[in-house]
Amino acid sequence: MFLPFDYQSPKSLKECLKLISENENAHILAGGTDLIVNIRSGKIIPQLVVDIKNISELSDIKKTDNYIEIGSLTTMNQITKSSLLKGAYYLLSYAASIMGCYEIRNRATIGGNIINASPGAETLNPLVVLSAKVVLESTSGQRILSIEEFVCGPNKTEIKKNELLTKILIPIVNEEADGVYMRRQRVKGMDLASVNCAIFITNKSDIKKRKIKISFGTVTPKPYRPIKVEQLLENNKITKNLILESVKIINSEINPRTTSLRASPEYKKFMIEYFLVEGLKKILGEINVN
Amino acid sequence: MKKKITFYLNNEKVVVKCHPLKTLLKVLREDLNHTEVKNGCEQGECGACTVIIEDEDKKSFATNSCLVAIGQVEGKKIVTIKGLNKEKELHPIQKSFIDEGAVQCGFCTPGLILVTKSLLDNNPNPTDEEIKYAISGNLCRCTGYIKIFAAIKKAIKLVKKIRNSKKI
Ligand SMILES: Cc1cc2nc3c(=O)[nH]c(=O)nc-3n(C[C@H](O)[C@H](O)[C@H](O)COP(=O)(O)OP(=O)(O)OC[C@H]3O[C@@H](n4cnc5c(N)ncnc54)[C@H](O)[C@@H]3O)c2cc1C
Ligand code: FES
Ligand code: FES
Repeated sequence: MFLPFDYQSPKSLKECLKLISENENAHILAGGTDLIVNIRSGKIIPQLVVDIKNISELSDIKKTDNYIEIGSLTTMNQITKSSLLKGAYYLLSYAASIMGCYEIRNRATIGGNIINASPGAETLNPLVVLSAKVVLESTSGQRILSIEEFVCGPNKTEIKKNELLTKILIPIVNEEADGVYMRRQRVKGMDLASVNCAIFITNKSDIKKRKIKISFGTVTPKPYRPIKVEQLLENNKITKNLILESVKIINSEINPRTTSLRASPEYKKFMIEYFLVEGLKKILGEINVN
Repeated sequence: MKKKITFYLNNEKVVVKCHPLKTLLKVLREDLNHTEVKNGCEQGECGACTVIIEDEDKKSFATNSCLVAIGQVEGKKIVTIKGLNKEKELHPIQKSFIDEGAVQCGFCTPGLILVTKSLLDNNPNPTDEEIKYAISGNLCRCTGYIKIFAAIKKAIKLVKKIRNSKKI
């Protein structure tokens, strides 16, 4: 590894924000499972690396009046074990529990996963359907964006050079709610997702009030929400025809790239129907789709 | 840009002077001559470089030393395979790997034993699925995993037996 650059490890958030406001080309180091790989391969050549692992206030999960707040440094294994992310929010801890492998999950943070924003990033689809928001802080204050606005494409987000992602906010759902996360990979061992999907439904037993959110990964450059399909499925009885119509709408809206190493566009399109049927069944119970 | 970094390696205090972004793997192998930590891929894929890291709050976990910047190790305790045995007495997991013939070339063995230790420290009674899930980041090109799996099952029994005998 070629190491011409400087390294700082601020002990407080304030110190960190000052450092990144004064250094245009600073790169944040959290768990390092993306950054170290990228520095080593020469994809990133930073002038300054700011290690945020010592900022302890960024690594816990707590419940406030309206949100479950997840510090950006929280690791995948902490998310997996958290008692606050059970029930309706379980899909997020489940996603964290199946990413990478045990050793990686011990270091990989949720903040790094969001900022890295790989097309199949494990936490993005669950966060989209849970209507999560991100808190960005800089010396000039705080911005809060929805995760959907925040993520723009592979490795691209709305974060500015002088900002740090400090927290992820998950709105507390008071109605009856349930969700699923599903992923397909090439091998049974460790592999990035070839295609993935999250579904979240509130008021599932009341067809008139039911709200459905769906998000797919790797089929468009950023997490894809089929909004027309969500509306179609929300207030109608789910039948084989409705699913087929949904798949048709989705396939007309997506355009998976042909250069993906992990799955062909045809395979991804095939998986859309499977995920829809299996996901809806899991949440709503048996539905007749034959 | 070099920095002095202090940490504990197999219970001994060590001080190294190097760039804080040099990886823990390289520091262990190149600066401290701990070549029992293997370098397979340097990108988190193979698990050969696995070590156990203990935080200030005594939480210990196995991780890939090839992805850890040495600057992030300041003040922490690191355990490599050399830190498992008590003088000449092997750790029960080491014994089980030998007894079951789970070692061929041996390149993956330190990583697999350390990830097993981390698993059993956190969960003394893992199910078969939990075992497979815990070692999914550790590649072995020789054995086909059957004997490794058998060794871990045996280690679970052995560790339990020792724990129980200590209680009496
Ligand atoms: C072997 C292996 C397997 C993997 N498997 C998976 C997988 O199955 N699924 C998956 O989704 N990912 C996977 N990854 C990718 C990676 O582990 C995750 O994306 C992880 O969550 C990144 O977190 P980190 O803390 O290690 O990030 P880092 O590498 O520290 O940082 C990643 C990026 O985010 C920036 N950053 C980090 N935190 C902040 C912050 N708070 N504010 C602003 N910027 C920040 C960094 O500057 C950097 O650009 C894998 C990686 C490896 C090496
Ligand atoms: S050398 Fe670290 S995982 Fe392969
Ligand atoms: S024994 Fe050779 S790699 Fe596992």
